[in-house]
Amino acid sequence: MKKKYELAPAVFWGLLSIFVVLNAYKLGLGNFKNAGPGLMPFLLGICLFLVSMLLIGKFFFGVKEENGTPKGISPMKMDLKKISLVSLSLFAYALLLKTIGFLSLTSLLLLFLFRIAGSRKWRVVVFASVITMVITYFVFTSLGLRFPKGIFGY
Amino acid sequence: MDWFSSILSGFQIAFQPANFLYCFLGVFLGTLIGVLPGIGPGGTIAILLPITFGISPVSAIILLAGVYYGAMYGGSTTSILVNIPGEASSVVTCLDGYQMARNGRAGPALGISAFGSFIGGTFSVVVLMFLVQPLANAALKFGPPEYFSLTCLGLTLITYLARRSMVKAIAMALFGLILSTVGIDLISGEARFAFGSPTLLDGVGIVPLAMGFFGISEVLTNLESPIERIIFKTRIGNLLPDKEDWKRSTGPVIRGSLIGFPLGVLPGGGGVIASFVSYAVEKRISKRPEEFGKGAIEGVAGPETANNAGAGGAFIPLFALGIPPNVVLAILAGGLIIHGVAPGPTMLRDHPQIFWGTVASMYLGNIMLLVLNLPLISLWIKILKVPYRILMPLIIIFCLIGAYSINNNIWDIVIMGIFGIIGYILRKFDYEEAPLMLGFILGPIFETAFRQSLIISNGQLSIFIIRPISLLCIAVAAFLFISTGFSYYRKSKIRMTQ
Repeated sequence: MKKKYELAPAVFWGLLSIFVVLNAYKLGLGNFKNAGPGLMPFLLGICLFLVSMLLIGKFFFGVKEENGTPKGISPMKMDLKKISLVSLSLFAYALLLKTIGFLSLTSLLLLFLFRIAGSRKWRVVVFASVITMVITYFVFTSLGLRFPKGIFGY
Repeated sequence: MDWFSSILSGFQIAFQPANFLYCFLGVFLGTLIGVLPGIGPGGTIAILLPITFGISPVSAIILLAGVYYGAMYGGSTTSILVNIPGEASSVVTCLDGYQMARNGRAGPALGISAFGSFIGGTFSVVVLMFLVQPLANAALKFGPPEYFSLTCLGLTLITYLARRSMVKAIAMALFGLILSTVGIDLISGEARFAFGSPTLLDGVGIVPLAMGFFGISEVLTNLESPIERIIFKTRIGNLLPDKEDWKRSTGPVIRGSLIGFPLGVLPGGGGVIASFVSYAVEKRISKRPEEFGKGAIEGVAGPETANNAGAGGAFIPLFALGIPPNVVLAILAGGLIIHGVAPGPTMLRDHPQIFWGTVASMYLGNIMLLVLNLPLISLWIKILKVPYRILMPLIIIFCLIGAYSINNNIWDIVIMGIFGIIGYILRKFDYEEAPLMLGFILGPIFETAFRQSLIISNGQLSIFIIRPISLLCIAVAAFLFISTGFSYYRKSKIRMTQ
């Protein structure tokens, strides 16, 4: 049975293509003799729009492709809590890195990630975080990479 | 410089202590990530890219190439012992390799897989060495219309050979092409889709994009459905296949090399298709087809040889034409560009030391892999036991450091996170990442060649069909589209009449 959520990516492609076409048009299309910066994205946007229409058409009228069956993971069955927490931690890390500094923030992130990944004992989590932090810091700095020190100076 | 002097200079470069070490490190890391399900060579090469900034381009490419072909070796270990392929190209090895392990023959399965990989890998390097130079010389005569048509054909093949839906693969390739247009237009100098962001003026970086799609989205997927690894408890005795094993494997190994190499050259091919085709051929011509799936050594020898031969073959379009045929080499091509080396026919002329040094290192790498794989098998088994709850934070931290250190820019981490989430959602809906990455990598060649062709022809689109090579590529691409459309129409019609 077809499920409504399977339509979501097709709609996403459709909306994305409209966005691309409109912005590319503003950039200036020029003509084939003198192509403008918007010509290629405009043409690609049109193609993507046609593909999204094809996907929508296939959803309503088409046969289900034998090799297009999902791998058994329903898009609606997701561990939203874990996924959101990990995703948000990445963005928070990016925004706080320069303020808090690499060593402090990465240690905190590691503690959080080891816990969320399923490590239960705090002793193990702290030990694993410290070891990982020390090894990664020395390996990467010895390779010439420099990290922000933040307000604490490390 | 003649061919012999070139290969000699290649070995001189490969034998330099630093390059020898990087080659070892590359194949070791490649085997390691091949053994570990949850991170592939694409993600690893993306993570390693920033680390290679401090070393010479030739050392960097030796290291990254080692990761790529090393992963082909490592992938078979998990297929045989755990029934989980470490890499997509080892999926088919599970069928007979795991059954051999269950029958108490894990040793010969691992042994023939290592020997087959070595023979296939070495065969592909030899052919690569002979073929690249003439192909690159021919490619130097290509103009923008030929390059445009070749990239069109490459993208069509990628979508045509997609493991799942072709329409979904086309959507992903188009998304990749659109993403490649972000940033300053090299011809007009105008900013496109940058929305005032200085980070986006330089375009979307290949490293944050690849890490998002191959690192973060993989972690998010595995976080939800952890990989279960139950190692089959068996004593791994003698790793050397006996006389009977060799007798049954010689044909599959030879055929695997011959099948794998050309399939590796095809865009979208690489090791995956090569291993499947080899398995199908061996089963078809076997006198004992009923043994396949129950522990036939031919079902391990053929595919494992083919995927390694395919991995070597995949370097041909990259080195000769500058067109990466699969996603891992697309990221490797990004690495070459970051190091100021344009992959393609001019690379052999302008940077011969990189090409010949890499080729020579591949010989050494294959020998190292053979030496590494057999005696260190107990180490790989121990590594297999590392739980995912330990690996997951490590992968995320490496991705964060990798994304940040490219430009010391926190917005690259944000971009990686965004593409990680998009990649995770698209995986849920069964979209493959490979067409997107190839679209992204080929995008600049595709657009520049298209616009230059139009300038040459004074705006006439007919330039793409009046030049023979261009016409051939366009015709093949059109045929593939039409045949797929026709096949879909026929299926729909049959379904409607039922």
